Amino acid sequence: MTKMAKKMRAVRSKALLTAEQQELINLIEQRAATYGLLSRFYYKEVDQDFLNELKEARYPANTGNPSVDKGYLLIVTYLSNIWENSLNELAVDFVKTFIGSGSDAYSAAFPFESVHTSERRLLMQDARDEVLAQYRRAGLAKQSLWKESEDHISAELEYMFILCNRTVEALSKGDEDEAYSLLVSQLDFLTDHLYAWTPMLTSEMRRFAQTDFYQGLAWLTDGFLETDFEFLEDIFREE
Amino acid sequence: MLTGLKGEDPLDLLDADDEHESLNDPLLQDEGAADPATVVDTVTELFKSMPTYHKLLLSILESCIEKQRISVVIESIDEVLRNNFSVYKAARFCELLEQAGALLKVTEEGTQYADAKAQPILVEEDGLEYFKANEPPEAFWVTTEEGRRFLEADDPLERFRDNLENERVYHPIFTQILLLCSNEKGRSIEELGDALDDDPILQKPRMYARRFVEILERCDALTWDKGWKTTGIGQLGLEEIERYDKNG
Repeated sequence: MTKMAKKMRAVRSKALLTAEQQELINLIEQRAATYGLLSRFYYKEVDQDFLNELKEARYPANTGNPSVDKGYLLIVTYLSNIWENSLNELAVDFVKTFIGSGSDAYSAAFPFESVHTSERRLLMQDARDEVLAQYRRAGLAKQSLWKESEDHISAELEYMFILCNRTVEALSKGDEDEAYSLLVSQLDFLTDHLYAWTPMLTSEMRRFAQTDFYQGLAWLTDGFLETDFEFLEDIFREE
Repeated sequence: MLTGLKGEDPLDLLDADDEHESLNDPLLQDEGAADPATVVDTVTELFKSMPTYHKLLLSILESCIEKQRISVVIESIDEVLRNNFSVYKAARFCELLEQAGALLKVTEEGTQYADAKAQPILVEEDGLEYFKANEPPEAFWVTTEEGRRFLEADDPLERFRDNLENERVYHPIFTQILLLCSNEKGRSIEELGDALDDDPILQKPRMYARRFVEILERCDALTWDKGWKTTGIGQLGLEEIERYDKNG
C-alpha cells in the first residue's frame, strides 16, 4: 500500500496523526491550486494581470509526469519570450483553438464535454445534464454572467477546485467522513467526466493551437489529470 | 501560489432557496524564404486593406530604416494614435508589417530574433527544481529590403492624382476643403460640414464633407492635429487640381 493510501486509511479510521493530516491537506491544497489555475486558463483569454501572475510564478521542473513537465516547459518558454503583442497573440490563439471560424463541428477544439461525447458533436447533450445535476447536488450553479454551458472544461475544473477546497476545510475541522465523501465525489467526477473526455479535447488542441502557450496547456491538462486520477485511485485502492 | 481564480470563476454557490432557476443564465503565417516579388505584393495588399492607416504604416517603415528598439517604435505609434482612435494596438501594426514581410524582428546584433529564443531559468528551492520565466532578449524592428522598396516607390502625389481621376465631379469640394484647412488652426469636421454639406454637388447622390476629408487624409493631403490641416502634399494637390481642370 502506498504512503497516500495509508494516510487515507488513517482518515477513515479516525486515527490520523496531525503531521500526516497536515501533509494531506497541503497536497489537496496544491491540487486545488492546479485545478484553479487550469480552470482560469480555459475560462477566457489571458489578460494583463493573469499574464503578469504567470510570468512571476515558478513551475515544477521534474514532477515525475512527462506530460506535466512538457506542459510547464512549453508555457514557461513562451512566457520567457513575451513581447508587446503577446496578449493579442494569445487572444488570437485562444479563439483559433477553442472557438474557430468554421461552420462545422471539427473546426476547433471545442471545450465542451457534450461535443466530445455525443454522436454528432452537439452542445447541451447528456453530459451537460449530468454535470448540471452534480453541480446542483453540491449547491452550485453557473455564474449568471458566464454564458457557456455547464459542461465547459473551465466549469468542470472549477468544480474539482471547489471539491478540493471543501475537502481541505473538512479535514481542517476534523470531519473525516465529509472529507472521505468529497474525495469519492472527486474520483467519480474524474472517472465519469473530466478524465474521460479531456484527452479528446487536448488532442484537438495540439492540432489547432499555434503558440507554445496553448500547446503547453494541452500537455499540462493531460498530465495533471492523469496524475490526479492516479492519486485518487491510489487512495481508495484496496491492499 | 497561483489560484487563477480571482473573481473569474464560472461556478457560483446556489442560494438555499434558489435551487434551479439561477442556472438560466489577421492570421499568423509560417516564416519562410518568400519570393521578394511576392513579399512586395503582400505589402501592397496590406496597405490597400488598411487605407486609413497608410500614413502610419509608412511612418513605421521609415522610422525602422535603421533598426529601432520595439519599445521606441511602440511609443511613437501610441503618440500618433493619441489623436486617432484605433481598434488596433500599436504592436499589432508592426506585427502586420512583419507578416507582410516589410519589417523584421531582430536582436541588437541584427540577427533574426526568432533564432534568439530565451530559455527558462532553472532554480532550486527546498531541494526541488523549478522553472522561472526568463527575460526575453531585447528586440528591434528593422525595415526589410522589400519594405524599403515599397517605401521608396510610394508617391502620395500620385495617389492624390489617382483620386482626382476617379472623383472628377467633386474637384470643387476637394479644392474648398484644402483651402478651408490651409489656416493655422485647421478645421473641425463640423466646420467643414457646415461649409460644404449643403453644396448642390453633394445632394445627389447624398454625400458629406467627411467622406472627402477621409480621401484627402489617405493621400496625405490632410492631417489631423487638433484640427484638419492641409499638408505640403495638399498644397501641391491644389495646383494639381487647377492644372487638371484647365487641361481637361
